[in-house]
Amino acid sequence: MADAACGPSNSLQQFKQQTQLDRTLQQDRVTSRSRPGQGFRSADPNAGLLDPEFEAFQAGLPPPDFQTFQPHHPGPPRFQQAFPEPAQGSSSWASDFQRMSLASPPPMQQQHPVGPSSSNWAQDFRSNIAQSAPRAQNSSPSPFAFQQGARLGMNGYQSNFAQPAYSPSMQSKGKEPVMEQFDEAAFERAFDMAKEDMMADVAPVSAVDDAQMNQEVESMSAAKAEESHQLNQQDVEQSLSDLHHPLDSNEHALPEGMIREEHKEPGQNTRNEDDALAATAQELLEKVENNQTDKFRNSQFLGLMRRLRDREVKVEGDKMVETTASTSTSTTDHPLNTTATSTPRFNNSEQIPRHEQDHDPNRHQRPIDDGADVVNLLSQPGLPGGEPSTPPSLAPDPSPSNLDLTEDMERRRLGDLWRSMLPSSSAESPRGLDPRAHSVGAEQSGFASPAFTA
Amino acid sequence: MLEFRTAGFNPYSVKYSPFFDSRLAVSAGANFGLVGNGRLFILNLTAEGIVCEKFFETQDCLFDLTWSEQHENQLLTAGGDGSIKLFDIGVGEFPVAGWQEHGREVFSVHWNLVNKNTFLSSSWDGTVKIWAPERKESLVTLPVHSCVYSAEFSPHHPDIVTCVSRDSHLRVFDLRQKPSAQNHLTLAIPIHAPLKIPIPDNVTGGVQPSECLTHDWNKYRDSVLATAGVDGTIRTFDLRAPSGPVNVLPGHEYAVRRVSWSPHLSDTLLSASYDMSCRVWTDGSTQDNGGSGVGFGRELGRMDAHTEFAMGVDWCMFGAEGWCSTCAWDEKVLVWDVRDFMRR
Repeated sequence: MADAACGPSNSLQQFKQQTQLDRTLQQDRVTSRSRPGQGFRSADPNAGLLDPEFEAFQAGLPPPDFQTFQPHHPGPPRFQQAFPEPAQGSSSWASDFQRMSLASPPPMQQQHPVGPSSSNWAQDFRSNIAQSAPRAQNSSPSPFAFQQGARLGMNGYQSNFAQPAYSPSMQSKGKEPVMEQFDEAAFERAFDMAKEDMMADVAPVSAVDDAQMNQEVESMSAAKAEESHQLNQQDVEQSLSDLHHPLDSNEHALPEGMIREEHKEPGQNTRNEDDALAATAQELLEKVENNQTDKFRNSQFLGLMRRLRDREVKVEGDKMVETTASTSTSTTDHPLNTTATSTPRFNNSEQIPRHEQDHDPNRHQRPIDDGADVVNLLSQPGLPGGEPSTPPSLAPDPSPSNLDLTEDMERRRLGDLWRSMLPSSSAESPRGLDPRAHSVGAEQSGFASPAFTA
Repeated sequence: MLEFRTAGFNPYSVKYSPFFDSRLAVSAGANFGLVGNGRLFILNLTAEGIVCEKFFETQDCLFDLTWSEQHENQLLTAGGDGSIKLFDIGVGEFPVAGWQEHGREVFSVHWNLVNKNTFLSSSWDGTVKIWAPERKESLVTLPVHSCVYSAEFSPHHPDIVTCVSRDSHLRVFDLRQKPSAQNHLTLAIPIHAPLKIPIPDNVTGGVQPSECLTHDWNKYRDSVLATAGVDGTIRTFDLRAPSGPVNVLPGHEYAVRRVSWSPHLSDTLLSASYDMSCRVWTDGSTQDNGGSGVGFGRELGRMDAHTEFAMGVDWCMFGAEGWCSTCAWDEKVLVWDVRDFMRR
């Protein structure tokens, strides 16, 4: 490049100069790197699978077997699992419907066509839609979807959502309306039945139903549900009680399919997490059990670990709470209690409402003081913390990464913190050295740094 | 010895202000950082002892903090929710800026001491990120692929970054290099490697890899660092001999949570450990053997006033050379003079 700068110049040389320009610095990954999620290069397992298909298409050959195509994303199998009854029922219902060859487009419920009846990319696309918008199944505008819901009645309809007791009678009722013989009369009757059911149900709206409807609305409004987010019974209750904190409840909002799946084994995950936490605490205590110094025996942290191990304390949401089974009266020296009594104002069992945390809606109205110039600088648009109304990084609603963190975070964090505390069993192999031997030698030498004694 | 109680919160880190000799900041979390809120304390050393000047509440535990080198009232925190926040003591009760890119807990933050326009963060998501305070997104992401417990800029050069991680390696990044497949990585030193020059009465060969929790640059010798971790041993490294440790300082019974080189003495280290003690060390480099950094390191003294795991240490840059501050999960922040704890 440097030699091209001097000497005679022509257009070809200019062009060569352009192509040989070292752009690696300009192509620094300043922007691409900043998004961790976009950085990975996990190969699409189906890359190249379509190529022979495309070539065959171009050559005018019949399309090859579609069975080889593997849906790339992990969503649909889980989704199918989350909606066992409706998916199956609707697909059989839909296929029955198709067999009747009514001149109507296939309804939206046909999300998981059995067999390779439709081309694979279309299936992929559909299940993508199902993944990103699971509500589509129940909010489908198809009249038959409505009919099915109507035949189920309001109760049956709700049982699609967060009804803890999924009654088998409802289920059979739900599977029944497979239209073997479709006639106008039945269609009309269904509308009548739905009307009756609705009239019957609207009057005595119980508080629970109301709450469930609210919850459903809330879960509809959830922009994106973390797939790996496990919701347990407590979380459901939590989200019910959090209905008046819409910002807060975002965290708990999930597609109702997931909620219902949880209800099949209520409390299972809670118990598993508690077990894992107790096991971690147990492991931690075993590592220090041979240390009988006063400090370790009286350690409040290790006391907390003992209580976690013995299930006297458990983690609930953002707090550590004593389990009801704990009848111990000697809790006065416990850190949780001392916290509550010694600093009533900052009792950490009382959560700061999320909308009051870490963001400042009135920042621009604050009196000018020491750091005001910096604030002004930072409040400029395009800078972090700018646009006081909704500073992106300080907005109270949790980003997807936040959701990821809340999921059994305390267990992972305890495990990680614990790993960083003491040697793991593998690292505990004898090093042939009592670490204190060396320091005792130093002690005996009586040496002190001259700099310090000066 | 001065004492301050961070009632209800368990401190993780304490740092002296680089601008005022009487100002300290402490980052802490409720419930030992497992769940619950975090709090950032701004403390003042006064004639009446340590006084809390101000505190900031956060949603999640604050694992680390660093003072801004640009502005005397600003400081950064490393959040358990993956966020980095910039607080201004003169401004309200909320951060003046925040950054959210890390996918897991941010475990350390450090401000560049030479080029004061950048800072870094390291996270359990296995990355180190370089940031500029006026930019929304990180400048550079350095992949480590292992839980990064500690990362620092060199105090001698604006573009040298080091980090230590779960995989028992000390990595050195040179940001001046082209971002190639190496991602600026220039050195990865195995921390568990045996000593080059065996020290008598010290068995150092064949140590198992163990997680490295902390490291610090020597403030005087521009190629010397100290690391420490789960095996309770402090090691010093010289980047001119990057095959393994130069010196080994065993003594702590449990993992060492933090080490810090003295800002006044080129051979002196302070450490905090899960054995609830804080200890002062020399790596022997200024002794009679020529100051080559290969002397016999030893423990000079220990301070046992903490009654829970000791988490943070920092030296005071101002005044006499022995003043330091330590914090531990016993909700105590202590300011003391290491000269009172030297073995006579």
